[in-house]
Amino acid sequence: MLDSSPARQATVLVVDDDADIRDLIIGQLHQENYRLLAAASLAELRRTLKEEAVDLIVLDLNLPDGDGLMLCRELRAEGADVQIIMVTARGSAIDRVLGLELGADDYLTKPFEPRELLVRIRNLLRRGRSDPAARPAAARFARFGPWRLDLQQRRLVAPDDSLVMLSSAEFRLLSRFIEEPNVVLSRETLVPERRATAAFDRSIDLQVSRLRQKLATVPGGDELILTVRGEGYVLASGVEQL
Amino acid sequence: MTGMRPVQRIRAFFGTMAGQIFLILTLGMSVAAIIALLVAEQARHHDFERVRRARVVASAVDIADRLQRDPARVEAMMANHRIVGAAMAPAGVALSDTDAELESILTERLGRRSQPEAGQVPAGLCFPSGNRERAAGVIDAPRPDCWIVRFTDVRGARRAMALSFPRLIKPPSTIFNPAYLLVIVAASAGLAILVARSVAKPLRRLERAAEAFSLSLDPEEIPERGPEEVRAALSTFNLMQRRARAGFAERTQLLAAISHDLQTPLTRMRLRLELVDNADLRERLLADHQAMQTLVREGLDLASSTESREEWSVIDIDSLLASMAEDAEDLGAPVRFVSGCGGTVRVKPNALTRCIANLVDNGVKYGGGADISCTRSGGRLMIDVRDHGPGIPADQIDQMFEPFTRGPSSQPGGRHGTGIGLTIARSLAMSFEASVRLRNAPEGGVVATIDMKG
Repeated sequence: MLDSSPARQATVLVVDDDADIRDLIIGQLHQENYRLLAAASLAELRRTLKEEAVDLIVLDLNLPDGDGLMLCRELRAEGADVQIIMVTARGSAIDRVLGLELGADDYLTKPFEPRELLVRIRNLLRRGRSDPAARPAAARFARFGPWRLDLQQRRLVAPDDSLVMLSSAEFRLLSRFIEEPNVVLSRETLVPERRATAAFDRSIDLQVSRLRQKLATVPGGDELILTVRGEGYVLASGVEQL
Repeated sequence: MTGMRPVQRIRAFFGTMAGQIFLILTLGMSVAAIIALLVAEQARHHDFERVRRARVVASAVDIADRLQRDPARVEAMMANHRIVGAAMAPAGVALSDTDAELESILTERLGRRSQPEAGQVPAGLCFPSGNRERAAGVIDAPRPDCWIVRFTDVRGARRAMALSFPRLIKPPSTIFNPAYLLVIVAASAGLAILVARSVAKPLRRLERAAEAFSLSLDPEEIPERGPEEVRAALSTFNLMQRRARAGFAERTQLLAAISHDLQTPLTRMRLRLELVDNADLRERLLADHQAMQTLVREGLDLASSTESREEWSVIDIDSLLASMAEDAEDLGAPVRFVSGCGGTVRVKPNALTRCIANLVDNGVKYGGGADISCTRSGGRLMIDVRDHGPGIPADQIDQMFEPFTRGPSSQPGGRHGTGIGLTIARSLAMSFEASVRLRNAPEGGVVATIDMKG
């Protein structure tokens, strides 16, 4: 099979020091149309990267000859745009935040659902192809009005450094506003993954009103999210990534 | 303490060790001081009596001596009151109240055969009534003491004399003067307070340290200051604290290591399960795998819950409780945020979130839902998570915090889960110096309370 086919076959490199796990993952990935490579150590991984064009690495962090995190950082420093999914046992000294900060594109903990791995690989490869520069800069905070939104811990930080907690829905909502400040967003665009029904519209209104209440607890925090009659809502503030 | 009535506060004070030491020392020292004063008073009284008798003895012996040398002249002088302080005793006076002690001293001085009789009598007997008119202006003067002494002299004649002396007035006793008693009691109380405080202070430090240790596994060591015994106790406490911490850390590391290493075989097993063709078998194996995986995950949670690397932050407590309830509701769990308490609290936010999440999970799992509420009282902040289940038998409530304890299997929802959720919750609470309690609500259901400084 050559690269001449319109949908170029993606190359996936599976790195794990446990031979069984490596083979089993590769066995799973066989049902997809990928070219599959395997490596058992950092040395093998580096050699393979020199010889082959790899689109995505499934990277176990604990390898006999070194730490996958360091490799991840090295690759990013070299400017490699290979996609990386980190796979690690829970309770390792690394958490999701650190992994993503060091340049991983996604993160899975062992033991994982095999289907989950397939879905994430598929998503990453699709995203990577259509929009190679879409990897978000790992900003920690977004500042708007008197508030800072902690993008990693998913909570609001007041000017006096006290914290205001957000529900997942509120965080999603606020993140959307922050992605597009000063733009009027319709109810449908605010939560696109759900169908916009009348009941759902009401729940969006409820969430916006809760969010407003939370934002209004510090001076200058009211009138950040404005209602545009018949159209939707707008975040009336500049946003600065920190 | 602030809301107590004075009576209750006093009772509470005497329930403390300082209070009891204070009471014992104040009473004891006051009683001891008063007894000592009484003994001194008694001695003073004896001395006074001795001096009084010594005067009588000296005078009587002197007159007896003179009578022996020149009976006729001395008798005449006495009859004419020419000896100051000594006269012939008027005849016919009965000595109703003889002084036995004085008589025994006189026997010694005047000889075995003298058979003395002596006693104090009204002053008038020493001074026949006619005398008083001659002494103008002395009516109100203290009248002299008058003693009658009778004895048999060496010639066998019975002599009787009236001896008079200037009155000796015993100074009044000062012991029962209220001001004096007050000084004694006040001095005792003052000393007692000093002692009670100095004894109670190191104990208080120890108590505070023990309390800190019960709330957090990582408290500061107590400075080893004070008297030797106190230093020894504090040092032993610190040692115990270090050992407990080391033991606990070892246990945690072991748990973490085992749980961690189980993840690799579990991963292999999960991947291999995809290769099982028999759908029924595969389903059962997946359920088993899931159970094992949950156990491993919670084991790791428990291990990591004791390490509190998270920073302290000030959070808006109601925003946390409300958002947790919303998140649970979004996932379809019947969780409500009932009432908040406003304001902020200083905690480790992620630990608190996970702690509440564990309690809420329990409420949903065993009690069919959870109501979250928050109250403040007396500088404490309490978060209640109440379920709507049948409650826990009273004798089993304490066991619920032991790892791998579940509700009874008869109970709906009993006997599944790992039974480690409450242990994790308590351990997490300790990391931000809070405690978790369980109780049955009077109106039904179990209330789990996180109690923290607020």
